[in-house]
Amino acid sequence: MTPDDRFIAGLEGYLDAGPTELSDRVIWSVRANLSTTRQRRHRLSFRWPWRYPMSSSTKLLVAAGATLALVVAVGSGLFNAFLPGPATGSSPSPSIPSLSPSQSSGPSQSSTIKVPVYPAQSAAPLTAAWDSSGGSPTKLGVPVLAPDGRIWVASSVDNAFRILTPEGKLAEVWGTPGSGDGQFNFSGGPDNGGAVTFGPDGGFWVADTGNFRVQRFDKDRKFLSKWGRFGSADGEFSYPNYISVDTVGTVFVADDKRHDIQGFTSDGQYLRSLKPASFVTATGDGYVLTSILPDGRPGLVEYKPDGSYQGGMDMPDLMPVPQGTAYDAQGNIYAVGLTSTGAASTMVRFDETGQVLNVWAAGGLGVAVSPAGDIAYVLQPDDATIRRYDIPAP
Amino acid sequence: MQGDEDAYTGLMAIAGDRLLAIAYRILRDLHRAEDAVQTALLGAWRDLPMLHDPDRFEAWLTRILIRACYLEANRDRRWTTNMRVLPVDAPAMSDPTSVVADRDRLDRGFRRLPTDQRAIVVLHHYLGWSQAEIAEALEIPLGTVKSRLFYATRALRAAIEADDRPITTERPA
Repeated sequence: MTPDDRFIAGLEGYLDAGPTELSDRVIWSVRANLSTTRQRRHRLSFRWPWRYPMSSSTKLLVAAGATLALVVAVGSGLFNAFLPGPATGSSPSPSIPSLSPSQSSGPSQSSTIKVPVYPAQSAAPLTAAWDSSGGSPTKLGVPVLAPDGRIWVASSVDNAFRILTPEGKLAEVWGTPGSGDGQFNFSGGPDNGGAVTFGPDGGFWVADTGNFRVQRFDKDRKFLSKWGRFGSADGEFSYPNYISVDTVGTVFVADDKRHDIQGFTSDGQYLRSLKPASFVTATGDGYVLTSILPDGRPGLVEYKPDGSYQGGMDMPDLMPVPQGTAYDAQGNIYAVGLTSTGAASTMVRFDETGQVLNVWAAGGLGVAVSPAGDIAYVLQPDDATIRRYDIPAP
Repeated sequence: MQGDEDAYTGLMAIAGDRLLAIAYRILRDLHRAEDAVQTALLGAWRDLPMLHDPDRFEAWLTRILIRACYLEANRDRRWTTNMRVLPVDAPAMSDPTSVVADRDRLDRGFRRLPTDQRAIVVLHHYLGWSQAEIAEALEIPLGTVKSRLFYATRALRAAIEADDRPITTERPA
């Protein structure tokens, strides 16, 4: 055999090795996308109203109007936060102008910055989300956009979901307190309890926090099944308060006391765990976002579908403590967070590669975003409301 | 319409294995390969009305897949370009079956190739297509196929030979 023959034989042997069978989940995803292909621009995995995050609510004192000042203050570190290497928040960079409320309907008029910042005051709070009768924002779950466009917010006062119209009117309160099938207990902990995630057919799963379980319902809200109990073993929960389902029906549950994410089949069979973690947002293609870096610091972290670590970044100047993420239909990522003292920091829109597209002074404890990326619903840490922000579509 | 989608999904379940095999061998990453196959299958669904010759279905679908692989290869994985990637302990990835040094060197060399050259190598050496068949399927000149294959082969050899060079082990005084 000549050297050439050996080379070709070696090359062909090398190419022969590898997978030869397409996963069913890909076919499943293609099928789900067939009718929506034209709406997809980047990612092709099916995305539907997302999932958001969570919060830890230890310090929620906020000075009114502080958010705008905060963004101005952090402006000098805005770009450096996304460059490799140590954060250099004191490096000179273009300042971010303050915008008065009257200017807030459009992008910044300044030509000196690439990232327009919108003041939080531009949004009207959806006060219907909370009756202000002695409640606190920690008694609200993060907002979730249902397939019909309405917003579901778990209330630990009602042990039920408050369902709002896109305009913020309270349309319905659904759910009954208790521990029986189809009943909820969203209280029992310091943080917001209760969460919901919707599948493409309108069926949904509820993180029944105080009952340490997940309940599954069909699109007509009929109880289907449940799983979980209190404990630290696989498949058990201590404070499950975030839940998110991906395109293949894998249900991810984040536990605020175990500080992990557990993945289950749609019927509750335990699959795997990720740790450390706080909230969970499953993307359409099986990736998972959460907010604890491997070294324990706050940051945005992504895990691959196989559970391995994909990457992460901290944003000490822009968003010291990320609290929640959401996706629009194009795959852009929206993250909201707090400052280190618990005040609302910013809402940031990234593209899929992590490039910053926009920054708004609209931080909070959780976020839901319309498929078009033109409306964001943010749970505020300071006034017990969900705020709707009408933002420019990407 | 739903019936069409069902039929198409069934067809794709059959063709999907072959597409994945090709995409993986070009991209050398299972998740990216799956993404490329998804892109190709959805693109094929969209473009199906433009396929006038059913006998050319395989070549047509392969061309769509190769283009999807180009897109996938050129798209940096999320979070990889503008993030600060934090070091973590690397998982034990050693594969006891891949201890053949030649294969490791080939793998390193192959991963350095541009995607268009990888595609030609896979179509020629894995699928066994002739250069003319590749040119016809991808709708590129035969000369382009030849040159890409030539440069890919040369680059692979060079990469392997470079890896074969002894590593200097001198220590600073």
